[in-house]
Amino acid sequence: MQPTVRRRLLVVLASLTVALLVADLAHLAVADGVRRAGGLVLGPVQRALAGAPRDDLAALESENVRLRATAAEQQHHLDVLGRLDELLGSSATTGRTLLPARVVATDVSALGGRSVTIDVGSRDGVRVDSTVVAADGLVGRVVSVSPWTSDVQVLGSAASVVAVRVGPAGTLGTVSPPAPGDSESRPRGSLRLVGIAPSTPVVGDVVRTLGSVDETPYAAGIVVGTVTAVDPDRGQLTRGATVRPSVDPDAIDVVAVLVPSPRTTPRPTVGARR
Amino acid sequence: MRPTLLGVLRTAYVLVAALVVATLLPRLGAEPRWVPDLVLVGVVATAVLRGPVHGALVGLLAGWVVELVPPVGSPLGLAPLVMMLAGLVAGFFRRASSRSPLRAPAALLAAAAVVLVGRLGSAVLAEGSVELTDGLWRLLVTVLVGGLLLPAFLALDRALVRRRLG
Repeated sequence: MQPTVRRRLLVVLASLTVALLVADLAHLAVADGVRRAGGLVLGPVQRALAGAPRDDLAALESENVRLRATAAEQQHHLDVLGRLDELLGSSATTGRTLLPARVVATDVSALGGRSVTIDVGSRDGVRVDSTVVAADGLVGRVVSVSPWTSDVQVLGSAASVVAVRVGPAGTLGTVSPPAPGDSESRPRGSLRLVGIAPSTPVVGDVVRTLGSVDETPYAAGIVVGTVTAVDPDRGQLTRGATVRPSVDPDAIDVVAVLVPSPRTTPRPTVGARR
Repeated sequence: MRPTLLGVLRTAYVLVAALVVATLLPRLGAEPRWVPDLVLVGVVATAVLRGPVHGALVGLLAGWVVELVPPVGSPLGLAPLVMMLAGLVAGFFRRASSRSPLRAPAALLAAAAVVLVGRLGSAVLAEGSVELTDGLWRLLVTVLVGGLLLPAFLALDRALVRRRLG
């Protein structure tokens, strides 16, 4: 090939290349045609080089991903069912009408404690001040209701005070979060029990709700927690204590809203045993 | 014009090199920064013996092969133009009198630098950011591999020309 011919060929090819470059930048169909031709001619070679029947591999991989997702979903359903079973079999719900629910959102309040949102609302029959329980005991009470969700004030958040009975004797008291003026130091997440009547709680006493009229805001007899420490005697009228709540507020998932069922039949009188 | 053995070998080398760089090495787990630009080595081997015009022509054609091996580059045609410039630059290193063994690697370094600049420039225009270290690593690997391959290529080329096969 003569040098002049070579030079001309180079100029022609380079101009063609520039023209194609401009066409591609302008999104003309010519460039797409060239691109498709490249894939058409060299694609099979690449597939052969890559060594595996690509389609089978891709299909198997996608099926794998799909099956794994299904398995995870089933496992999740099983977990939820298990928790619901546990909840239905626990003492907190025995003999009560309840509405199962799941926690869909949670928020740590600036004042301490936690409020959660559950996935049942006024259309499901939830009323403000209903009691919310989990399998292990009391979670809190409903403070606001929207058509499909409700906000729950969890035990231990700043404004929650629960009237309780302590121990086998059933001494009256209230359970509230540790107040700023509290003289005792209590572990994080634990509650403060203050007696109403002069009495001394004992470590290990189970604390249960006292209950209110028509079961709102708190139904009676639901486990709140266990006494873990009793405050030292400083001459006060009633001894305070530290209560560890039976429900971990950071790990609430399946809960139940108790539906108040007011009595309609008068309670019969009974004669004492002779 | 009859296809010569040298021309066939050159075309085959460019095709195989483009496929190996695009398909086989990534498949074997090589990171992009460790993949040498084997096509450029072939272009430089030709350019350094034949001069700028021939180098530019071979670079342009080889660049088209690289561009058309899927994944097809974008914008279409930029890589051939850059490769053409690289071949042109490598062609300027031709000296009929000198037989210094460092001439070919120096040409390869210059050509790889042209390719790197072209890639960085298009990256700046397209994305607004560049991976300078990866590009420099690739340049280094290309020059190292080319330093081993180039003497063999040049010897083969000269031998074929001597037997009137080129």
